[in-house]
Amino acid sequence: MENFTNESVDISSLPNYEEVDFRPISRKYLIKTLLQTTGFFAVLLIGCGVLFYLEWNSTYIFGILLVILVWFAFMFWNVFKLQKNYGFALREKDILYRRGFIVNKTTVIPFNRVQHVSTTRGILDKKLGIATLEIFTAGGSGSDIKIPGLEPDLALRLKEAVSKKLAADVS
Amino acid sequence: MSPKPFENPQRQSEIGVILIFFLTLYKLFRGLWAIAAYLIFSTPSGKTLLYVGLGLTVLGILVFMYSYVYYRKFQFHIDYENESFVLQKGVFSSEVIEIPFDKIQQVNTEQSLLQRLTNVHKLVIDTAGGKEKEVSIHAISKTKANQLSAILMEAKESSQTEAEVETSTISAEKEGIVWSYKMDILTLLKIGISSNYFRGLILIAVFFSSIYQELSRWFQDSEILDSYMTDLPDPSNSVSGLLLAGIVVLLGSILITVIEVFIKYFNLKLQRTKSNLQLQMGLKTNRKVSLQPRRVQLLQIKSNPVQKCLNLHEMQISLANSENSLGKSKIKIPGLGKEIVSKVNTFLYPEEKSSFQEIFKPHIILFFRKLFISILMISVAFYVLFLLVQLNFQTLVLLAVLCFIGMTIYQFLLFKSLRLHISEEFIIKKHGFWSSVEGRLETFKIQAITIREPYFYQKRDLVNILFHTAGGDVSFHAVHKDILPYINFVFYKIESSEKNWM
Repeated sequence: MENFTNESVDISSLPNYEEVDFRPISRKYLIKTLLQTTGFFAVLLIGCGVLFYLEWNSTYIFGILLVILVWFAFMFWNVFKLQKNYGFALREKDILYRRGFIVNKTTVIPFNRVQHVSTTRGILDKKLGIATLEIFTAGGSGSDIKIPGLEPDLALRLKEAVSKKLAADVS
Repeated sequence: MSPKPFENPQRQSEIGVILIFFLTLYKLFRGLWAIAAYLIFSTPSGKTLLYVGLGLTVLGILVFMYSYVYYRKFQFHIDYENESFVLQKGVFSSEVIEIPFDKIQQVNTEQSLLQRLTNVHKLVIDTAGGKEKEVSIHAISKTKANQLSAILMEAKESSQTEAEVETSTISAEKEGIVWSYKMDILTLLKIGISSNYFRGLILIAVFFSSIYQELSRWFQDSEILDSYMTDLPDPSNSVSGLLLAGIVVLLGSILITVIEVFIKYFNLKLQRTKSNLQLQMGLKTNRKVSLQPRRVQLLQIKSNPVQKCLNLHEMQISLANSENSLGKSKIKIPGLGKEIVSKVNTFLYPEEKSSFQEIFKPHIILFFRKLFISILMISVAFYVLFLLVQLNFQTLVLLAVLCFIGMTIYQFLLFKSLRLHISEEFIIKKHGFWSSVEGRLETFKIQAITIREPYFYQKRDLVNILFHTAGGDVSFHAVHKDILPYINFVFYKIESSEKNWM
């Protein structure tokens, strides 16, 4: 306890999380989300085609088609906007993750509150050569973060870096 | 050398089979009560009754077989070498759960009515942080439960090398009692009368209206009811009859809540030793929980004007939990006097010194947004009402306007009551204009913070802040960016803290 100090802290001089440079995620993730959206779109279009083939009321079908088209126009626009807003940053003592376009969210997890870290890769991720980094805390699902679209070796390096910080924190 | 206790895999008490049987049946029927109600009300023929009876018998046998297998497969033991508690279970698939000693949060024993009848105890092992859920053993004899919980708590303590000061917590019984508090019957009565009578009222209204509807449908064609009805004065016509009915309903609803409160909180006892706070309560299930300050993640104190007059304050304590199941690790203690609340407060948060305290309020835009949403909902409700009920258009408009004014006042007062205090040690959120709620959390116990900046707030420089703790989230909406330096301070506080958050 001899090196314990308790000086008052100048709040305005503390490091500001907003001034951090966020690193964007891989462009390949855009391909993934575009593929997923297109796939979903295609399934719905095929559904419409089947309805048309079955000679269902054609005005209804065109109405549905119009709604689907407008919806997906928005979805594709949103995908591009979302991609721009993904970003993460590592500071000495915490990790920051930013995402969202209409509602921009930034989550900050201090390293000494991380429970465990993992990386996951789906089939599409493997084909495209990207991975997702997952960081879990005890704060429930709201505070866990999943950073998608990282190069696999970067994801691994990040994972190791965070784990090392964890280990350093415990000892 | 004799084997250490619980070294070999063990089963639950034999009587546990019956307990599991009833629990499974209960779970099954909870999902099926609607069908049962339908069967009763649809006046089944003899044939269907026979089929239903046969089906139920078969189901009962199947459930019993399931319970037996479940009982046989459910085995637990302590792995002394790996320092963990191991549980194997599963009927169709087998699952092995291993809990390292240092992940154990708390070991509690409980007894429900059924367990009391069969003279067994339920043992619950709470874990935190990891992926594994909490583990419960439904039927275990008292001696074994005590033995096991003692071993686990001891093992847990010895596996935690850090925090020497707090290691002594477990030997609470040896320490002297600093203060203790026992709730008397009068207070219980007061709690019952003053708390959620609205809910009881609604319950009773629903109950009676459904019975009335059912009855009137049954007797629609029968002449008995007609003659009966003409004998009686129509209650809806006479004011005194209506008033009487209202009083009966009100008394009934109060009675229900009083009974509920008695069952839940009978014999509530708080006992404070030097490092521990013991809580005991319940008529049906006698719950015993020991609270340690560092386990407490979130503290809420609730009260409304009526309760304030009666000196009743409700305390809600959220402890560290593993999964997102907030209800489970939330402890509710109602009807505490102001002096007890402050005593508990000083126990949980002994050091309360701060060089600053900043108060934040939300922007007025929050009020307009909430008002807009509620008006939208009211409009939809009235539109549906207009379509369904052949009501006079003017009455409807009048009702809608009244609703609108009421909602505006409600939302405005609610908005006015919202407040966030940030000090060096604590974050306190106050809200609610009728029942006021004060939520308090220690800054260093925060797990993560999310700052949300919706598109429509950007122009005004507003953000929503979400504090994630292990006991649940606390959010504060539409606050000006002036708060951000203080958020940075909170990060500093968490990252520089070496205290154990659980």
